[in-house]
Amino acid sequence: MSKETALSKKTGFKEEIPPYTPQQATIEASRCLLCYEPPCTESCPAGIDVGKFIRQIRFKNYIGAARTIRADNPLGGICARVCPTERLCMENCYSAKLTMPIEIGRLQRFATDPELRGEIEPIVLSQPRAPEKKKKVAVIGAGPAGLGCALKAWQLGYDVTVFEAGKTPGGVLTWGIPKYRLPDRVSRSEISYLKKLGIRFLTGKIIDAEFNLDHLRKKGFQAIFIGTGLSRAKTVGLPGEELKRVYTADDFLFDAKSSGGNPKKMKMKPGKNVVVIGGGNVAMDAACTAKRLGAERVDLVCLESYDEMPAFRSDIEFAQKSGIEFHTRSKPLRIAGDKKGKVKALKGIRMKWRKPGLLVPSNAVEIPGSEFTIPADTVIEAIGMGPHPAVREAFPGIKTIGPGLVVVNKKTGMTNIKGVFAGGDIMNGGDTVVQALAEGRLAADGIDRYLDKTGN
Amino acid sequence: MKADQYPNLAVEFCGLKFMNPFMLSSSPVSNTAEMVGRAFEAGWAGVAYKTLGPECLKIVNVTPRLNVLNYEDKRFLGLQNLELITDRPLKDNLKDISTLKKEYPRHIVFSSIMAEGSDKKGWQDLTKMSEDAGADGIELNFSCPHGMPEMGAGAAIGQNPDVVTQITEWVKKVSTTPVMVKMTPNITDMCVPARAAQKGGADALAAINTFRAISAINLETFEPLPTVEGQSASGGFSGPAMKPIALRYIYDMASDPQIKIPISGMGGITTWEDAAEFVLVGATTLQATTSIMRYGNRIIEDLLEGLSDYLKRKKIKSLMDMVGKSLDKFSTVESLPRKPVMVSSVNDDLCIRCGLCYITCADGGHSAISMGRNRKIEIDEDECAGCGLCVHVCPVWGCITMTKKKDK
Repeated sequence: MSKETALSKKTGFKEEIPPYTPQQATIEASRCLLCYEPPCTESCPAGIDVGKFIRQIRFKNYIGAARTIRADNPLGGICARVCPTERLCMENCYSAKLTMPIEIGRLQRFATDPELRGEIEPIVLSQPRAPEKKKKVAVIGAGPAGLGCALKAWQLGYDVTVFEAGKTPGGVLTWGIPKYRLPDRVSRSEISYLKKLGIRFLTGKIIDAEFNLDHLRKKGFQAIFIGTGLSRAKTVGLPGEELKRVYTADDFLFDAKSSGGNPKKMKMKPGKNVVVIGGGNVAMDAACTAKRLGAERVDLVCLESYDEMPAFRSDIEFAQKSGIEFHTRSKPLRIAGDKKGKVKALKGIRMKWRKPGLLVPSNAVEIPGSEFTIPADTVIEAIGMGPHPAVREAFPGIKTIGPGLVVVNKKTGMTNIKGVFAGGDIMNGGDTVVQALAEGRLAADGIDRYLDKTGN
Repeated sequence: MKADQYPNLAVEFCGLKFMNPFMLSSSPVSNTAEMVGRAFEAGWAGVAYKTLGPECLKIVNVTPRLNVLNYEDKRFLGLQNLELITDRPLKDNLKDISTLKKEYPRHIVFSSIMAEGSDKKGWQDLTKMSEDAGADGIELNFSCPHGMPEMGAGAAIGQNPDVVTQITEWVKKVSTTPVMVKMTPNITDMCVPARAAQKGGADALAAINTFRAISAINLETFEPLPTVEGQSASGGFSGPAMKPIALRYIYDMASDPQIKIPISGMGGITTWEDAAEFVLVGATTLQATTSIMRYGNRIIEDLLEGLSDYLKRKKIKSLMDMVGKSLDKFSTVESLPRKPVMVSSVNDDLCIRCGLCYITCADGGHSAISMGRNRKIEIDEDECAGCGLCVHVCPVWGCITMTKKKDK
């Protein structure tokens, strides 16, 4: 017991970063140099004209700023909150050469919040749509990639149906990203605009060997987009994983989010001493969430050093601020339990890399005599996710690589199966929300060209 | 004492010895002895006390009576006010002037006065009462642009040279101290009333008073600001935005061959650099209000220290030696030389690749700037018209400079 509980349970799940007031947005936008062909615009995966919307805020054209964002990103309010801006639009900001980069995420939030607050009509509703094409497009998965594809395809004139395995659309937005980073109302609102347009959402629809490609084709869908993401949590394979209170991060985060941050309603309630295994963003989310659910001490164990961790810098810093204890360059060995089958501790050992730069477990060399024990009653594994095997069952013959990632033509988003497209994590193996959205939109263009050419 | 800690800043102004050139101008900042006293303690050397009017004049101000000009995130570029002359009883103000002189005998107190254009007795009575209270000098307010002109006073007088001469003569007839005439900028040529004041016997000129302006309109209600029960009026505008206009008027008067009397300069003075500019175009003493209203009396510390250090660096022994030093460096555009031809030159080591110079030269200049590989800025000397726009748009200080065009 080193640190007192840093965060109140009641307020811990409130959105962490407050919105800008108009004055704060004006101050920040006034710092922008308004560069020619700005690097922020060039580095947005969704293709938002970032420099333009900042200029619009600066010149008090607030609704115009929202229009600019929505022109390329229907999930602009979500991305404003979850984008790793420091490694995207802010990375090469020329203002950094004078003082510091412009806080683009917060400005984007300032521009999109009025829609979410209902102060202005959702812009998506007034965007142009091509003449109806009387052709049906199916989108599998209502996460960022699927939503991106669905809206674009709808705007291109197609009749779009989105099939979602979960109870509500949103995918990782709904089950994965903690409320303190992305409040439910934000994703709910942005998805609701798409529903209002007339895009159909069918939830609880899980693809499998029956609800498959043939079935969809028989139902008249001439093009299908796979945006199922990664849904199978990997496990480390440690001795002791069968003990009580050993969870995977995705199950834990979903439980936490659907309980509304109330540990009493959770099935996977964390104990007082929680150990999280992993160095990615999901590990940070799991650790910070456990802390907010009342864990007194949260330890994070990962193979990487601080500089090597795949998590976004801002997420690591946030975890540090939340009071998470980091054990970097450390390898978990086993989970120790008591006679009742409860977790007692995590045993691990310090390690170094055999070959520098190759950050995989097989390259880790244990440092003899550096064994350690972290007392724990809960262990959460966050070492990554893999594709669901149902994708290959439902789309027989689809070309995949590695753990089952779908291969597509980078220009069209089409898989080796004609008329079947894919994008997002199921294709890229796990990237940002904005990257998935961009891939979904690219695939919608691919679908349009494909259906146009085939004349189907 | 803070006011006299920089001997190189001491000035003599129509026979009065100022510990430094900085005065509070006649305004809300010089409303009471208590306020002025605190300013004196902070380092201000003098005051033009808030304008006194005849006892019969009942002054009631509107509320609110201030509004500002903002620009992007910067506030207070300029200040518009609808405030009238003092609304305190005359005897209280005279008592305050007397108290000030007793407490601060080495500080200079000008009593600013105002009456109707035809009210000879009013002008003369106020002069005598002020001097009896101990005032070191009289400032004639011929320049308040709002409220008072409707009553036949203020700028209504300053815009009529004959009346200016007449009143100055009336006051000079009874005064024993220097008389300074405060000019309105709400006129085409300030030299005309300035000459008229000199003709009437004025010992000094003060310029500029505020400029009649409209600072903003509420776009929801269409009502101008500051809004008083749904309406407003144009009012005196002051502050940094007025500095270029103030410098021009002071230059005009200081360089007029007929005008021989000294000038007390004001109009947006906030930093010692502003102050130095006013002195260079011919002001001997300097007055401030808007910067004090915004930042408080404490700015005097930076005005004094900064100006004193500047004089030392420039090896100028006394501020008096600097008065009007830039006057012979003004000419007319017509007679300015056309050679050598200057062109823009960019320091690539300082350039941060933002491309603002490229945009501005294409859309507002002469399309002489291009961006090459890695956003490197190239200036085509043959196309460059040498206007200097890019120098001012570039966000990096000193990155783009003007250099002589190379001979070919």
